[in-house]
Amino acid sequence: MHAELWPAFILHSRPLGEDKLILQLLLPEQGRVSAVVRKRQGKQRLALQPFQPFMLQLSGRTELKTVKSIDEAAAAFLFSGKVLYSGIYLNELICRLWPDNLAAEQLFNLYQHSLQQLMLVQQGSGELEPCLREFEFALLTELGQPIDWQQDADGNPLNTAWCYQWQHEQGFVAAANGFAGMHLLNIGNGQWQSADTRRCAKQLSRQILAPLLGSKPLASRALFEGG
Amino acid sequence: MSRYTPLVQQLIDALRILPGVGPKSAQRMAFSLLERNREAGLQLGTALSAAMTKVGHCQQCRTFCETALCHICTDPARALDGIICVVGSAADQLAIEQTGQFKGRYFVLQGYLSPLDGIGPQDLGLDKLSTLLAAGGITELILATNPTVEGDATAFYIAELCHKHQVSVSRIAQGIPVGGELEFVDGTTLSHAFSGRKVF
Repeated sequence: MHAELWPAFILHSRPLGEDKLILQLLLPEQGRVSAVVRKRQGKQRLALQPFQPFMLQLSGRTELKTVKSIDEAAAAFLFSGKVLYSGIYLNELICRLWPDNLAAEQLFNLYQHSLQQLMLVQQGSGELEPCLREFEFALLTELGQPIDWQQDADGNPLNTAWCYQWQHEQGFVAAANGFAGMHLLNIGNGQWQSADTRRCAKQLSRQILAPLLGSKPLASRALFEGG
Repeated sequence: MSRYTPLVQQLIDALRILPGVGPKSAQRMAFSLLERNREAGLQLGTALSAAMTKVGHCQQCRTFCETALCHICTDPARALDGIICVVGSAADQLAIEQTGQFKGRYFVLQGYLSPLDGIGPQDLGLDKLSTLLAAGGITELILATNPTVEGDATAFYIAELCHKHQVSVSRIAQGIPVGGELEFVDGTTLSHAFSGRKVF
């Protein structure tokens, strides 16, 4: 039987002996997959790096697949500086949060879209924070934890003049202090101009992601903090 | 039940920690030493335990050495131009030394920033590098990190440190390997080769 060709991104790789790598891959149908690949495919020398769209064939019945063939499908996203750290952050989020063997069609598109957005930021025509926040909130939706940016936990429309607390599995609950309704509506409408809205989105995403990530902090955040 | 006697099992398990050595290779090595090379085996044991206890890191550049400072860091001639080259590993440092091109000093990271492997700035002694840059006397820092995502991230992180301490920073060129064929080179390397082309 002829193995099918799949689009894929490498999220992470680790060396295996002298001439092989164990890849963490993201594929639309199979989701997050581990696979062994030879560094050289015949005479072809491939840059087996993240942020490069690939087409590949997988074989094997166990959890650890083997890459039968792999080819570049398009030019790589060449990131630098903070944009590169952000790309690494997306990869870490997916590796930490996306369950094994769960189909990831939407996530794959979302990831690809975010890389394109990051490329725009790299070229100076976009902003980093909205790009990261939109990925985080969309990832939460894919993980079955969608955020309702229109209504509070009781089904009332969010009020621009009120403040809200985020309650796990319930949603926004009106409170004396917390996230300003105005900013939450801004986030829902993709209005990122205000620095306060961006700060609010960052705090909120950290709060919602924290229980999913457990006690081990995201290591890629350390890249942004130093330097 | 183990197929081996306890000591043989222990030896095989110990050999398996070496990179690229699986159970079969470890068994072959163990039997080979026991069958006909006991003397060399004892030497291996002595060399291993001496190196593991006595080889440390150079206090300045972090490469492996048994003294406080390595032979490069103690050589005054290598500090003359104030250039420091940052490499990922002692093996990379050796490869550059063999070219005879570089006459300055090194800083050996012993790894790269890799959040997914849990390797952060502290693990690479970047605080030490920062102190070194702050101390002055360094005119240029050359980044010779691998052209991988981790190598790139590390390079950008160090470049920011250099900017902070106002030290000029450069990165070694990326392009087509000597003896390579364009047709078989990956797209990213080709685009680097194009953007980094030189007047000829």
